[in-house]
Amino acid sequence: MARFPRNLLVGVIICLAAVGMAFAAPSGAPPPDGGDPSHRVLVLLRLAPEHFRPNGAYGDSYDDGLTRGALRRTASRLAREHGLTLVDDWPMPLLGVDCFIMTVPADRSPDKEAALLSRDPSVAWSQPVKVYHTQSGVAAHDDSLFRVQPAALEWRLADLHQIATGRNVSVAVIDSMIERAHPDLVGQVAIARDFVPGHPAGPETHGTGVAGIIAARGEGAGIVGVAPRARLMALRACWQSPPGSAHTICDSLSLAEALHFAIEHNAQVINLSLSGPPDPLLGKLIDVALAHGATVVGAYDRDVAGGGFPASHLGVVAVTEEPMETPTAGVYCAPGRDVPTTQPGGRWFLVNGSSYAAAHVSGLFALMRERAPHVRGALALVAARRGVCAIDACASVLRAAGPCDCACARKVSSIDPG
Amino acid sequence: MALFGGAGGAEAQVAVSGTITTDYRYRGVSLSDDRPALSVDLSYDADNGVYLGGSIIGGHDAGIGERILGHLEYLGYARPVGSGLTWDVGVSHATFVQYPGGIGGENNADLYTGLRTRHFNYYLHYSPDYFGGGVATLYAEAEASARPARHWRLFAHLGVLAPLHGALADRERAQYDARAGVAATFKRGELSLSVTAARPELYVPQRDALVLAVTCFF
Repeated sequence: MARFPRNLLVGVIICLAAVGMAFAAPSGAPPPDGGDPSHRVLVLLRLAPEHFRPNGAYGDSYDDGLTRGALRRTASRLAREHGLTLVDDWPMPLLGVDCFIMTVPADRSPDKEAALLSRDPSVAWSQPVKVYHTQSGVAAHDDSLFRVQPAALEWRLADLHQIATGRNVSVAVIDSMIERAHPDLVGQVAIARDFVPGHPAGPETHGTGVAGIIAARGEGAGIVGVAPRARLMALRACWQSPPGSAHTICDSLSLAEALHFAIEHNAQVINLSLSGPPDPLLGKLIDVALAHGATVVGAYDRDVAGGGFPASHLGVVAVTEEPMETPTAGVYCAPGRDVPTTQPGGRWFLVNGSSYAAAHVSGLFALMRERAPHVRGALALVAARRGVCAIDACASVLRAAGPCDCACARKVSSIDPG
Repeated sequence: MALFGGAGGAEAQVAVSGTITTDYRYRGVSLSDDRPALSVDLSYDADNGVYLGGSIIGGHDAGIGERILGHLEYLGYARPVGSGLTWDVGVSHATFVQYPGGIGGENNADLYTGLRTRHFNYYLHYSPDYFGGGVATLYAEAEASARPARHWRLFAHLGVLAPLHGALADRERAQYDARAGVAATFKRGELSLSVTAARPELYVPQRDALVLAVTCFF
């Protein structure tokens, strides 16, 4: 056979093989629980360190196919032995693990299955997939103008923007889908990823509202974000459930994937306007994020002892909406009542809840980090008065930026930095 | 297995893969006469960072036809050293039935060390007698990869082979090889398309090649 036709034939065979692999059915039947995230477990298997392979590169630190093939066999064995269904996997090289998702039969407990799996010597650890809820109240009728934004008065937003606007600071919004085409958000999203592709696509309320508070453009369209020049990462890890409702949930896996992405892409501020049970995987990723120098802001749930996770996690800046009659040590307050913000459909509405208070603080950290990239956690914030949870935004930004001949500085002398 | 066993939470891993490629290249040099080749790879990763593996390559030999073209073996140790950095060290051995410039089978043993980050790899290989040519060499290589999307990978490789004394064939002081391409990754495999080249041509004329390969992970 002539060389060229032989190579062409081999090339065709290769392409057919690739197409076959691409369309190969995932292992097992469709999940018997219909994909309910609360009936799944995560099985974390240790990734071997990347190393030399003389026969060419088989991937990178994110996806060494050869190693993952070996781990997939282990995961298949575990699923078979425990009567579970292997659904998918997601490598997390920052933690040195590959995360396998398995569905638990409806008549068995994910917690017990995770405990059994954790005893297997090949498993780094296993945990049930937990569900998280965003911390928002009932939306009110739409309204929008800068002068009705609480931050405009309480935080002296215009004065703050004389000092900083969050220029080029990367803020990861791990939330539901943001409406990037909203007039107040056009051009504000640098990166967008969807970690819950199985749920209906389309702009969603909570994420769009959080993004608007952080980084609305403020060029006459409607509102001004706390950090109108920040660069947003729109990381969809939550979804409206049921679709179209105001209720928004997330789960351990989607949040872990989004967190991993945010860390890998050097997010300087990570906003988590949600709350739920403590989670080992998310906790480890938050620790990695903090070690990488990110500021992680979490919404404090007043209905849960400790404020819920991740607000309760060490190093996370915990924020609730004002006012807080009995301040809790380590918890800050920010505007979170009747806050105008962006809504899908190019509209604006009023929102309530610690979700939006947290968004304010994420924006504030973006301002501070523009002027002082080393600024990290809650100690950078200046309380409005001793013993209260409210934040003196001007004093906080001035502390980061240093002295200036600006409106914030001229009016700050009467404020007790706390 | 017991020699490499470790504490809980980790397990030794055995990985097997097979690759069909339109042209088998070793440091930019075609060893399958610019024709398709099949390689089977086996690797073992212990939970303490020690690893070893081997490959068998079959394809077209210019003088004989389809046959086993050679085999590769390696033994090494990889250790994460913090901040996403991994240090790697080991030995490798390659045997090819007809390495360009040689007569009959040729062997090459390398000592190597390298550093790996999330997107870049840097290695240095020392060979006391490069494929029986009587010349000790250093081969330095750098690789980069990026993921524009979850199932896509862009990669690039640059290598330079230089003698520690004397010269390579045809009195050349160094040979450069380069490769760049894109790969689509699937659950159980990968399809890649790359361009590969080597300069100057040593021993025998070398064509720049567009190489298509599919790898299946078992």
